[in-house]
Amino acid sequence: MVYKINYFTFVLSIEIMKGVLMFLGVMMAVLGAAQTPITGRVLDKKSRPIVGASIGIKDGYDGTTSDSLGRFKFICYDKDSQTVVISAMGYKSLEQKIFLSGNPIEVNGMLKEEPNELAAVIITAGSFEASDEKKTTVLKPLDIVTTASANADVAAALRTLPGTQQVGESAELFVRGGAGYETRQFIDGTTVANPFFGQAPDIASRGRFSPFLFKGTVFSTGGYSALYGQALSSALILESIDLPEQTTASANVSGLFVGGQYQHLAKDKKSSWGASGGYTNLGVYFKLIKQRPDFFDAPKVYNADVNFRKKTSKTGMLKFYGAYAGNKLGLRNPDIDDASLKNSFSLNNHNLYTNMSYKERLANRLKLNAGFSVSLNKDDLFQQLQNQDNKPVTGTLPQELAAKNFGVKNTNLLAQMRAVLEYKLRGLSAVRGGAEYWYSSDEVRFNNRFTNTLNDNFASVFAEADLYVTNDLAAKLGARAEHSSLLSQWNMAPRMSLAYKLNKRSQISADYGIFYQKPLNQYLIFKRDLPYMQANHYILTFQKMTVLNTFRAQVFNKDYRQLTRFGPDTTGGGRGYARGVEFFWRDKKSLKDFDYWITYSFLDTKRQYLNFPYEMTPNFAAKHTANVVIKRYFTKLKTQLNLNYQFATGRPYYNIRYNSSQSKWMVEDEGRTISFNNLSFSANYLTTVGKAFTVFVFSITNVLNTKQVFGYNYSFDGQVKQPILPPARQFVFVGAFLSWGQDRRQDAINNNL
Amino acid sequence: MKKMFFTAAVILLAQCLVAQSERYTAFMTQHLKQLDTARSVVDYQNVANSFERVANAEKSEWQPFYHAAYALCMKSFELKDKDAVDAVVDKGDALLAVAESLSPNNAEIITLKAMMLTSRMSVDMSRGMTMGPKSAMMLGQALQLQPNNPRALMQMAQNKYYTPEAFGGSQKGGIALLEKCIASYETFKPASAFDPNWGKEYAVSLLQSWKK
Repeated sequence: MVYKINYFTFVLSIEIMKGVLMFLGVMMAVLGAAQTPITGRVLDKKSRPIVGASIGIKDGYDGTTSDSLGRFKFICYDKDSQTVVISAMGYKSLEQKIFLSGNPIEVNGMLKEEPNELAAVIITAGSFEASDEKKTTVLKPLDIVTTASANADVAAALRTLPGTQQVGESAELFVRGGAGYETRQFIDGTTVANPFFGQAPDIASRGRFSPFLFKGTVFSTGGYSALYGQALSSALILESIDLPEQTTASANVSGLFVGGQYQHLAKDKKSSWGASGGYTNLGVYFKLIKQRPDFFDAPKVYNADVNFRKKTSKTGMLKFYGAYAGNKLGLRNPDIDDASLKNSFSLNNHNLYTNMSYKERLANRLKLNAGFSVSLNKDDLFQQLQNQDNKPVTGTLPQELAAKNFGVKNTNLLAQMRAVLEYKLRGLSAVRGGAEYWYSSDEVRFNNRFTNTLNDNFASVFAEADLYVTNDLAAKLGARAEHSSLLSQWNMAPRMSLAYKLNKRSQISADYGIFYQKPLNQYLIFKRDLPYMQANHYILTFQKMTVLNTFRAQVFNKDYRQLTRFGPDTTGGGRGYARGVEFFWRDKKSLKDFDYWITYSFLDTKRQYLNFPYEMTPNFAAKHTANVVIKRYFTKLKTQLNLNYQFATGRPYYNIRYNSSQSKWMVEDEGRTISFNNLSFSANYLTTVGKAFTVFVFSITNVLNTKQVFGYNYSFDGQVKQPILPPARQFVFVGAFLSWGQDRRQDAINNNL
Repeated sequence: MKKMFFTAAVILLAQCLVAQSERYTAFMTQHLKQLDTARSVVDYQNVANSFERVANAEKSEWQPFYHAAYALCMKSFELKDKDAVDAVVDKGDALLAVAESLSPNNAEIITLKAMMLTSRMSVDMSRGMTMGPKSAMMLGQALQLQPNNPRALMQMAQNKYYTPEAFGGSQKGGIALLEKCIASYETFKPASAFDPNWGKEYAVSLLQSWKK
């Protein structure tokens, strides 16, 4: 049978079908219009109402929002089996199957908190972090640049934080009773062997790396992660910037230095390269502002660097940074043992630093961080006794004077490789593990005759786990094992942190860890089988934080063991302790337009190490240290003013001499310096010069011109005691920073908009 | 007979689609009205939830995701507790990411992303250092895609007006941009009834307050 459908029958059939369908549609609507009222309440785990939760039918339109008591009611027009979804910000969604038949249904939901970085307890609350990426951090990268006393030196800016000492004669960071070498710096995971420029005795130099190189800074004053090692006291973990926002050129001009930089961002925004160079000469400055020592060779710094960054994939990033920097200086001081003589010192430093890092997401939850770094440092130090005509002293000198004529050449090579894998577990939890290998070769050549070289193959493996039990309770468990071929020793260091959130804004945390560090090379030269120096940290932290306020209180206890001692034999038998209380308060809210922080540190520390005959407070430790930092931006003046007041009580000083008749070290004289006061001021004025956005910077340290004494040096016979003073009481800086392209002025001021 | 069944099936399917789209139209129209009158944190959360439900039911339309995100952005501006802002904006950004995957290179979505940054900056001005240039870049991109988009122009006008001169801001420049924005509302035609079409009244009142 063949149906032949003509146009008429076709149209007719469609009309009929339409009628049928219409009927069916109406029927469906009537049947489906079984209106089911759904009511209920949404509560959290503690039975508190959740306001603003969304309640609806899965993949359907019907639904509503919970009210201030967590209650809700809506009419559902669907029918049969459906799923109700209850969701609210910060909570895990809840689904419940229901059957719709027109009879009222009650659905009550109890929602669990979702793991959330914003709401979760901070495991690493013990450290200070400066970052733009994280939403709540104690500091912003800009704070480092705009701290009045710092003159854009990273370590100097961190000296306004609790736990650090005011040690004016050194550029290093002295943390919680630890010496300067107990703080180690890391860039993109790998350690930096020589983070500071070459330093003359008792005169602080500066850090080599500009704060503008980094997008993130973590400064741990104790209890840091197992991912890092070889620092007894503190870790400064720096993360370099990724691709720049756009192509820029910039120039820095002042009476002290000239410098320029160019950063080029590729058109596809997937790679960039850059180069910079600079030259600093304090000669003119020293002519204008008198310095206490006679600088026959004013400090000079020359530096050049290149960088290359490439996005290797959507999630991969390869970065290279290579820098050469050198500095030199020469100065004369009256000799402490013989007033008719002068002591001349000169220094010439060359430093090559390279760092390559690579990060990539290997699989859904797996991330790789790898780093490779080589650095070479050369120091050429020369000291000579001179007569009043600045000529070398001829003839035979007594031994204590002859010992002052020397030349030392240091050559330090460090090559390192590092890889860390991170695997994300459920929620915020994660495990990390990795390995590191350092090869170092340190050569000392004394008076061009005696050469001593220490080579070390240093390997470490480490692992840690961040475990979030809930958003409120988390633990970090880690361990690190290290082996040094030079010491032929293993060490094994456990690390542990526990953090608990008391309420929305407050939390407490506890950190414990063992930290090892190789003895310094100058002692290893004499004895190679010294044990690792050891410090055990115990830290308790309370923190209350909002986006605009931070209050932090910390109590710590640190046990030092196996410190290097020569008494007179070189051993690892030194020991000591450091304990204290620290407070930090930062407030961007209470005083309109003002941003300020106040810190206070109490430190009680003693140690028996080096030539200390018994446990004594080391000369870099002050009992009370305080800081006030104030920043304010004046919109109309286009100027930001920064003030910083630093205070520390006096530090002890000693004249320790070897008594050969009793074969031991003895303290022949001791005392305490006057307390340290430093009020610094800086102003940044923003304007335009031609097409360049420009920041004029004026800064002055020790505005009040107070006397600062860092300690005392003793003559050989102990009869003369000379204060260690800064080269000049004040340091004044005037400079201009110009940039073309990106608005760099935003870097220099934070209170904009 | 087979053919008839086939025809019937096609028609039935079409009918269902029409029904579905009628429902979508009805809900979108209703929620957009709701959004128009929303003023408080509670109102905005409510309407954000409504749009999110529509978004999740439809899955392939960018507009409900956009409006849900927009409501959350407005909610974040209304919050008294600035500590709560980031969580709300995070959620809004997540919705916008879905919208963007459905409709890439969309000037409206990019503009709203810039607005989310404005909300974040209102929490802590020091965020302006990194977020300010980012926001400017986004708005530039939006205006490149759609040179007369009034909402992108309004955002840009506000950025210009409220940024201190030292950072390249200018009240005059802001006013000029806002006037351009108001003019563009006259010519700008949204591609569909459910595309973003907000801001004209606000722009006019803003201009009045600026000119005082």
